[in-house]
Amino acid sequence: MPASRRLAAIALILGATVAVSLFVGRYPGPGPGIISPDRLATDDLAQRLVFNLRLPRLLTAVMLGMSLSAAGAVFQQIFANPLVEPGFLGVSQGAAFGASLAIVSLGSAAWLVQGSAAAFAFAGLGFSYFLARRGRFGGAVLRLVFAGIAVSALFSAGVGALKYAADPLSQLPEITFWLLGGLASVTWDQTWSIAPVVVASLFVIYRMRWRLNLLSLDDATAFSMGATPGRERALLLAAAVAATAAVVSVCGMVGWVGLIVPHIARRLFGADARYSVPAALLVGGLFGVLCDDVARTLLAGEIPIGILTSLIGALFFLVIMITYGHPVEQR
Amino acid sequence: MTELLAFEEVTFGYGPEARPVFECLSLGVESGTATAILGPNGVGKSTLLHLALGWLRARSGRVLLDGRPLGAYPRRSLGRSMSLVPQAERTPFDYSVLDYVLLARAPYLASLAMPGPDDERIAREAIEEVGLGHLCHRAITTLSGGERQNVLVARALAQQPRLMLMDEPTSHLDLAHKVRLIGLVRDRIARGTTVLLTTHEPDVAAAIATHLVLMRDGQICGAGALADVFTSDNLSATYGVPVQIVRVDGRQAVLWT
Amino acid sequence: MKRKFIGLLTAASLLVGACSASGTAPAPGASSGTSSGAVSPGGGAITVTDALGRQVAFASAPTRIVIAGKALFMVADAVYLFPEASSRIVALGNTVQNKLAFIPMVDPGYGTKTILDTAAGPEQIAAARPDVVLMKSSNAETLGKPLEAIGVRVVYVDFETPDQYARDLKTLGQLFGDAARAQVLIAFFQGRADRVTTVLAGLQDAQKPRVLLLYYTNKNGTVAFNVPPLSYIQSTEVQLGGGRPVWKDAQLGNGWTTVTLEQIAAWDPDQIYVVAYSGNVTDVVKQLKADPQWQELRAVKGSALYGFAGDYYSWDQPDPRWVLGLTWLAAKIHPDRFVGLDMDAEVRGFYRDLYGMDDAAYDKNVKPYLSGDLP
Repeated sequence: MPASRRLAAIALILGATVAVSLFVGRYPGPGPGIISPDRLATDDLAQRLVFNLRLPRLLTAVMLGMSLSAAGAVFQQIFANPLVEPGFLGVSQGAAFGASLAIVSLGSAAWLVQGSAAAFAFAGLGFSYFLARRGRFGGAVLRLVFAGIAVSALFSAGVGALKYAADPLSQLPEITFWLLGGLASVTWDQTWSIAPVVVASLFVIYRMRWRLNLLSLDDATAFSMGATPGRERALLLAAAVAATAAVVSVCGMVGWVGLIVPHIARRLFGADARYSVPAALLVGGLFGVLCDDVARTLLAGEIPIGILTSLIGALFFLVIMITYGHPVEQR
Repeated sequence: MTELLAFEEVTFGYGPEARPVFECLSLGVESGTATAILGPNGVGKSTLLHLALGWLRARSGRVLLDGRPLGAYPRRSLGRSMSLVPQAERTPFDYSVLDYVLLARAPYLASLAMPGPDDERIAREAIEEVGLGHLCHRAITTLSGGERQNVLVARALAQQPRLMLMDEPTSHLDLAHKVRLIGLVRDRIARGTTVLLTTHEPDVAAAIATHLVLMRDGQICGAGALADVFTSDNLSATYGVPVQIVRVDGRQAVLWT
Repeated sequence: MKRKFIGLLTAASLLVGACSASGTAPAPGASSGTSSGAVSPGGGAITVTDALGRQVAFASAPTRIVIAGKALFMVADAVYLFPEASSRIVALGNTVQNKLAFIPMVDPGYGTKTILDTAAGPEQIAAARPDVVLMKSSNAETLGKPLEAIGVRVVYVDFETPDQYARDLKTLGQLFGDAARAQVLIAFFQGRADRVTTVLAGLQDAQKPRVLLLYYTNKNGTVAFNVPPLSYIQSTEVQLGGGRPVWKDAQLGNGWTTVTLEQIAAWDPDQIYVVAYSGNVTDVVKQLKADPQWQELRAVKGSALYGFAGDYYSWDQPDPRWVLGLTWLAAKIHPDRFVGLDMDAEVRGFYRDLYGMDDAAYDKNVKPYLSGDLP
């Protein structure tokens, strides 16, 4: 099957999964179950639950999965390293630091935690870039990597200090839950607040996806083909970090998605970013929805989504590694 | 005779305080010629090519393309004029040969455009030219060293440049591939592409080049038509080891003791 | 391919636009009917003012009440001060601390209630079809907001300081339609607190012992001692009880702060009270008394190291038992002023007046669980 057909198939599966997920959950219970269409027509509470709670939550889960996966794909191609994650350039740890700072010192109003997380995520990127410019050792990409490691370590130490200063009964559990990720308090407000940034950033990444192939080459070579590696790289990284910071500020730290989904996408569609980036977007969205469905349905309490992404992601990845060969896509 | 590429009193060093790699170096490459830059390792041959590309900027002096400084050209225009075959390239991603060669079409595409059927045709032709037509859809990570090098050449060809810059193109090739590549380059030259290549192997230079530049210690110690410059004395001085050039069956071979 | 992606995006945004424009949840100020099909107990419309100053309106007193959120048992214990609680609470979270839970003992209908998971989200709570959900105001953003988004009314009660007790009991009185009971309760708490402050009136600073209250934790073999911030009820109890908290001038954070033995020695308190929320506090005190480093402390030498009293829950916490904690603490800090105090009668009176327990029920259900330094 040609690649575009397969992408359309995955898009359909994503759409169907979102639609079905609207009806699945722990209401009316007990235990996991489905709201039947009859029930939905007559039960007020069920209607409000589906449209005011489940729908924004599902859309946010899709955005979460798409953003982290697209960002992961961008990072992996730009750094020509398949073991790289969106949180690389001090972005994740910066967001964690920002959120912890808000929870411990600034009062934990949701907008404050979100804003602080987003601000420090960008700060992490900014510091990494600034440090990389001043560095003397190695090529441009290597300097960025080192700077990212240093900035991540600094912010991580900051998070540790904040955890120490936090109140063990009220603030520390909040920080811990944020660090594990969860979409339980997502409503339309939050979904709307991140949607513009996420959609714009993902659009930029989608349109520039072929250039990603170019950027995975050595800088001099990319330059010889008429690219402006520095600027294009900065734009793609900014888009990736913006989307990541936005979803992380609402959903907390969710790891592994940005590492695993691009691998899966490349396994299914080959390395060419023209197909692997849209694939990462779609598979990521699907992954986000599935993990969130399990998080809110499986047990009587919310499971932090970060635990699920690690577990399900790793299993998914194992299966793909074992069953799929090295397909180079047929046109 | 028009100089396609010219270096005018170029001084370059890595970093503002570092010792310069070259000082006041001047060099001309004429259109339709094949110029080989010959010299020992570490003398700055790759640096010279990166300066020619415009990727590195000289501390003083100018690099001119068609008589105009490189900075005067928009980026994509430079990309259509010059292409680079780098010395070695490794990527962890399993692009197909065709997708990899297609990257070279970038200078002909608008900033957000993607390659179309014409670009694909040109890429396929380039792949055929280097003899890898049967490997179009193979992953580059599964190719041998020689095949990989040929993919890089195909990519540079797909860029349809007027000037091809080649950085030690035969250094990883076995004899069969080397001979094949040399044949390909000569073919290209005959069709009008100007070639500037660096190599540390004198016999390759002798086989391809019409003009020769000898470099040692950041200085040019000989430049001109191949016949004039390619002498035993010059080579011995360049390499610092006694070298003798021998003519066999109308071809030149290099002997060392 | 590009067209398909744009198509998906357009469809998605249309769907999103349509849904957010259509029904949004009724605001808490609206006076619509109860959201479930349950029968109202009669009585007219009521308005409740909660801990955040919000006015929440109901067509009639809610009959399906859920208690949710973190730090639940303290709120639940306060809610069960009202006799209507048992019949109207349909779901609540976990109330266990240190393996003991008070509510199952005091609520005959406990077995039929839904016990929510500690990490229950808005969906799980909605499954109980509540008329109203009670929670602490710290849960407003994470739990309150999404619940209100689906039209479930939320009333915040904090019950963390003596002043908040007066305020929040009034709120519960409005909620249960039983203002009389609320008055009785407020009078009880105020009365007990007043009695202590009256006895200790006129005390000069020099007459107030320097008191240290420590919360003891032992996680994986790591022992830590923590002091409360001045805003916590533990600090209030020490002050109302006629002591001078030695940590008063230290720059502490918003929650419990870990202190080292060095710091404790530097403070050199006259009396030390140890609180433990897990494990046996009497055992902890015994261990400390046997520890040679602790034996160097003046308070330990003077036999002034005490385990804080408690029964189901340690009495220092912002649970209704804080009045017991205050009384007990004051009598320990100033035994000379509370000579006639009969702690046993105090506790029995507490359970009789607040939870309707007679002596026989008390002896059977509470007395066996008394802990700490009680005579």
